[in-house]
Amino acid sequence: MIFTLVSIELYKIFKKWRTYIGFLAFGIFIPILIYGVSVSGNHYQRILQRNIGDQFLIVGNLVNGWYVAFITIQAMIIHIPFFITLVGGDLFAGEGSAGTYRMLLTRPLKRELIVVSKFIAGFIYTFIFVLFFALISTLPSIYFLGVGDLIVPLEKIVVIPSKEILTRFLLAYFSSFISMCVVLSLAGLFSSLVNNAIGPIVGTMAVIVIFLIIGELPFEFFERIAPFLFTKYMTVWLDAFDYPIDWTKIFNSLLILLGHIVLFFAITIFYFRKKDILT
Amino acid sequence: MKKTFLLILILINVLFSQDKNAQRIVENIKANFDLINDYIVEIKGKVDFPDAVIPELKAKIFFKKPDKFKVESDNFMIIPKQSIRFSPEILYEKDFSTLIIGEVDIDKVKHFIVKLISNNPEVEEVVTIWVNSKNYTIRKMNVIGSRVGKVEIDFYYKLIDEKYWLPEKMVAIFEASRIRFPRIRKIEKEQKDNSDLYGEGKITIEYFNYVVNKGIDDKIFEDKKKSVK
Repeated sequence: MIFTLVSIELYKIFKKWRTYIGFLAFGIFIPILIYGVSVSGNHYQRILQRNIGDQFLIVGNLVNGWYVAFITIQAMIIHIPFFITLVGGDLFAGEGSAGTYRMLLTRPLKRELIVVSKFIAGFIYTFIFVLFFALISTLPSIYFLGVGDLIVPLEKIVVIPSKEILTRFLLAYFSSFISMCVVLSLAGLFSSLVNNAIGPIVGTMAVIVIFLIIGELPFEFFERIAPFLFTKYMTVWLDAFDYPIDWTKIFNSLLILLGHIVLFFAITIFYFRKKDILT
Repeated sequence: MKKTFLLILILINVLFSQDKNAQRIVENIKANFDLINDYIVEIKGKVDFPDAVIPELKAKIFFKKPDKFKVESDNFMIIPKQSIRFSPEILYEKDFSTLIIGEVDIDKVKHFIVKLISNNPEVEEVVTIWVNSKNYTIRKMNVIGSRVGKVEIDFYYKLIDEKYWLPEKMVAIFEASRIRFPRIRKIEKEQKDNSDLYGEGKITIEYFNYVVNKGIDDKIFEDKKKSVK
């Protein structure tokens, strides 16, 4: 039963052209990025050379395929959530705007089952999108720019040896998948409240952007609030590039994110069970 | 009047003789390295840099007279330029002045302290070297300049093939604030204030398996892959 329901939901998702906007956007952007990096040459190494070249020799290919993949994964903070909300925001509201709620709910199915199938279908879409993103950001860039150590130039400079990089990226993409599932769940929750997808899409993005801003504000009041915002843990994939890996931090962040998924899912079920269908 | 003239004469003589002695020391250092036509050596290095984590590096250095070299490595590495010719760059320039500024015992061996100053007004770096009086190797080097800040390098030697003094270890200490890694994210102010970013950085390099004067094909230096020349 659930398999059939999920299949139907997946059919609905992949039938809409908006589902493919994210695939199209990154399918066009990433090859341009790779071309730009290969034409610009080893920009990072040139800056480094200018800074320290008087006294030091710099060896190794720093701007390689892994580096491009690392640059693109930064899109997980704000750009990819947008493409996830496009689908998540339409999960329930799409039925409302299409006028199919009544038809769906008059079938002999528990409403909980409908919510579960919609969430599972949303998670599958999220998985496919993250997988597509992972493949398109790594494979072509590695093919055109080669491999080497990965330099992670964040607050702390970390150079990850080439033999460890694949594991780090797998961990990062898995963590970002969980983060994106939180986004989808929130969009799904908002979607269940209304009959038009625009509200949930804008609403989810507004929550993410506002939470991110609050999390970055350097004032004591906001610093106290920040640990209670799920966006603080959404960048857990960045911890995959720390040295050494802080497994406790990653595990805790993932648990908090999973907790949010369960919470948003539970609220959706709670609301949807009693939802008065008027369309 | 006669006494003053004599004093000036003595002073000029002392200065000239000191200059000659300093030049002789430099010539001896060069002569030491002139014995080496080429070498291949494996290196293992460790970079300690505040706010940066760089794994242990492994590489192979190829050197051929007069100035061909290649560092072959699969990894990212930062190594001091002096780790190739084991002496400051200025030593291979033509126009520089030398001055002995003292002597000191290091490991119970007398070392001359020699200052090397470029006569090119655009070169502002001042290099000081501590030269072993027995084998004329550079035991210690100090480079000061407004761009590089202060770099201190210690060399520890061993006799290779019973005739070539070559380093088995090199330790370079430098001002971390002078090395600026480009970053994607700006360092938060608070973190910047609390960090050791303005502390010292250290690069330790150990040299293994020297192959000296066995000849190296020039083609080796043409292969750009995985190397810096």
